[in-house]
Amino acid sequence: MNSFEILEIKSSIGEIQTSPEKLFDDDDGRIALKTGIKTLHRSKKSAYDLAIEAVKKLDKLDENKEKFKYIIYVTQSLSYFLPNHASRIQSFLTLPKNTLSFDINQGCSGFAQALYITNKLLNNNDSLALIVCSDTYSHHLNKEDRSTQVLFSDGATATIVKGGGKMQIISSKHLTDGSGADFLSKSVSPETKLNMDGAAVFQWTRRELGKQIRELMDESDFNLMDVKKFFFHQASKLVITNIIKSLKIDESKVLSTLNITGNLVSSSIPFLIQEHLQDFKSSELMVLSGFGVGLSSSSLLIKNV
Amino acid sequence: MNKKELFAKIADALEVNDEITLESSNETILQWDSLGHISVLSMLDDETNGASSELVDLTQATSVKIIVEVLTANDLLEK
Repeated sequence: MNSFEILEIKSSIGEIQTSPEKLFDDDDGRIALKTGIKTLHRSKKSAYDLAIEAVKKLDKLDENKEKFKYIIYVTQSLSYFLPNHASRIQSFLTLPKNTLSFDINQGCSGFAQALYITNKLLNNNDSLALIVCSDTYSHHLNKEDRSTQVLFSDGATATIVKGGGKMQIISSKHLTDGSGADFLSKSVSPETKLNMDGAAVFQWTRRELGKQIRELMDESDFNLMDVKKFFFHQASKLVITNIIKSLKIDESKVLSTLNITGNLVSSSIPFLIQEHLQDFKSSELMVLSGFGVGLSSSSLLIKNV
Repeated sequence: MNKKELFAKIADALEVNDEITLESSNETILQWDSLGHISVLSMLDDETNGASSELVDLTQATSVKIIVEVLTANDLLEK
């Protein structure tokens, strides 16, 4: 079975801090109570510029440059239509030209998908992959739309993954349901804003995610009680509380960064891992689960061997 | 759950002291905005052990009358 190790994660979060109260004068703290999001981070920079800031912080890059074989850039906030952003990252970091580099157009489930693909590509080889996630959804929000304004933050993460480490993806489940595409969408036209039917996304998540995680466990020799930590996409407190209830899992096992960042879209899970890196490296069994736009969800059961 | 209990739980979910009636909706209750509606859906999910999440009609049901109709039609509300 393939194994991997996360060598390093760095991030660059939007430089402008705001809050639901600051965005909406009539809010008395009720929004933060429901969403769990007290601070939002917005950026005037492009998603690519945030990504560059994140990769520049990597300490383990220079000494390992020749080992990089793969660059995956996850975004739905295009700074360039072409070429892909991963190619620009290769050039900026002067990584080897014999890397396979590509973008993934995915949101909140993007990191889980990139990690799944990376683990397959590395194939236990002692080489490295760089996963860059970056989104600036705030650039596309309608100013009057509370349902999106109080959730999304801008940010980027850079993750170095090494093949042949201590971690194994012992089970994985993926779901794509394009019939819900319009529940969270934005057209390419610059005049259009991001549209979200929060209630429909919530119902879909409740319906599908619990089922997916149960199937994930059924495919393994473990049960939910064996899982030491859950790394869920940081959608909102309402969504995560609902997942906890539906799975009947111990809330203390569910890690969170919602209160400090808001919903960072593709960077949500890697930022969560960065903030709880020790938990990630030391927990015997973990569930990592991304879900949202697509609609899509990807869940991984990861074992530390 | 019966209608009286449902009304009380909708009030709790929306965090309002106003009396909830069959005529209450997102047009009569300020707190019944998009976040409020997700709170109502979450409450219904808890009370029906997840059965309400299968009811797509509830995503647009922003009045008590419609919620009662959808739940009743799916045998999730005591008569």
